[in-house]
Amino acid sequence: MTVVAALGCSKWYGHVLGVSDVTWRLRGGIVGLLGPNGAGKSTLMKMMAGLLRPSRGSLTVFGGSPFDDVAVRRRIGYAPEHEKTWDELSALELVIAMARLAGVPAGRAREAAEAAIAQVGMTDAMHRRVRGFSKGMRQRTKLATAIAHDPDLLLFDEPLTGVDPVARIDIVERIRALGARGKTIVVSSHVLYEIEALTSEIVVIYRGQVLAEGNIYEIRKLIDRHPHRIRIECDRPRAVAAALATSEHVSRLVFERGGLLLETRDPDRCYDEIAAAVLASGVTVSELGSPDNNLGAVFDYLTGGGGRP
Amino acid sequence: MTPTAAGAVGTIAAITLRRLLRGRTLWVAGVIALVPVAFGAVLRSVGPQGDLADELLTFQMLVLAVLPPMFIASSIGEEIEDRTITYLWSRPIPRWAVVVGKLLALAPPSVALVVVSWHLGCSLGLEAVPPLRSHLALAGAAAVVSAIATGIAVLVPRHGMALTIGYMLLDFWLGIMPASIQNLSVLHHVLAISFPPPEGSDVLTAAIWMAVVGGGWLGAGLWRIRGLEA
Repeated sequence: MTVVAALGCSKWYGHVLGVSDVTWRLRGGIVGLLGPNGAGKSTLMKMMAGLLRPSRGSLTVFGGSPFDDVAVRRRIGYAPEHEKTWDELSALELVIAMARLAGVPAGRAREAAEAAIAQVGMTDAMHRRVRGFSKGMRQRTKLATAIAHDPDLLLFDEPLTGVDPVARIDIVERIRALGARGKTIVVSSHVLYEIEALTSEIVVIYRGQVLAEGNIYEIRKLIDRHPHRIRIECDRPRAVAAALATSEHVSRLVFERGGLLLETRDPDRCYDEIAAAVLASGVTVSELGSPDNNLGAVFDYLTGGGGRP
Repeated sequence: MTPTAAGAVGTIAAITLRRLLRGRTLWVAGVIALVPVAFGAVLRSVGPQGDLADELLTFQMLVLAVLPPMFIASSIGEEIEDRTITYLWSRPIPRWAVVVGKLLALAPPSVALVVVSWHLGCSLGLEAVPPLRSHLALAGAAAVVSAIATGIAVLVPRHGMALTIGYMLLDFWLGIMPASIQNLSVLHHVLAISFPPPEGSDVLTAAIWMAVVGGGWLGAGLWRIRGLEA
């Protein structure tokens, strides 16, 4: 089932382009929306949350317009990027109010709010006013406001910004737990490793356009015009290099401390040849991997190296 | 289940009222409302002043021009400018419910402060407390200025409070214009109801004109908010 469908979707703010001609389908799972600041992630998130209307094209959520259809918005939980909230209220009061506004009946709102607060690990602080909260606590409270009414689609805009490393790990785990419960989750970030920790399904957005989407390995296929790097750590790198030197799939070989770094435009066949070379030369391989199997490298490739934050 | 519009308005009104009670705005407003009271006390201290109700009412007009925008325009403006409105508009509620909820929560304190301030000022400074109709006129005017502030704040969120106060100063000026233009002045109608001229005044017509002015601004705000993005 399609959860989000954007078709030729564009958004302008006056003369400034927010999102340009985005065609994208989201069918479920946890998806990372990745791009540098100003790429259009928040604009896309806000269109999905029903806060903005496309200037051109269409964007539907569960088959309806989130901007016009309140029944669609009932199924969405949105945690905005900004920190501001109603500081005069306690976390519990805030989440109860948000649950009530999302349609949770008055008799069940407190119970739903307490459950949501517990899910984000804020039970101990739920009676404290938001004014005194740290950034991490504010982020968790925002997440609680988004999940209290048990929506089907969760939109978390930069949920890890300004959060300390310990809280970051915790929030990542909690978002993954929500995903494991079958929620469709879109998480935006401009920090590559944050997304990488959450999911391998990504959408790369840059200058308002979707550059690539899918599993990181699928995206890697899209960019196979760029050389793929493979690093082999072994006891006799020269022996492996000699075995691979004549391979048509290896475009470059570089010796590094304790190993060998090679570049290829056909990673699948190259891995086969490496396996054969290692067996033939009888070397002991301690580690085999690609420094390109992280979002940083993918993002660099897709943006021509200029977009990495 | 999506909340009913009335339920959404009620929830927003409850949140707004709670925030008002815990914030500083109410205290600042209370101090402003005390200014006519202090003026009344000064009048009392210098001895009987005859019928200065007109003067005191003019003074009260300044309170009327400041308090409702301070409560409502700043609340709506901050919500939009600080982007906390995104929490509300991403919920399954009509957009207008936000401003109506705020209006319902914040207009009554504005009305109460304006009327109490007027009553205390008169009690302290005048020989006779003005008629009940002046209280009612001010209460109605505070409600109308609240509606005006709501409309202006939606149309120009960043400067809603300043523009509403500016508009009310313009309203003073409209009040001394020729009769047909006078009808657009809320303050003119307050004076006409509170202290009718010897030939009498049409209270109903004045009340209708005030409602038209307030309703016009509120309607403009509600029309604008339908398509407003966050």
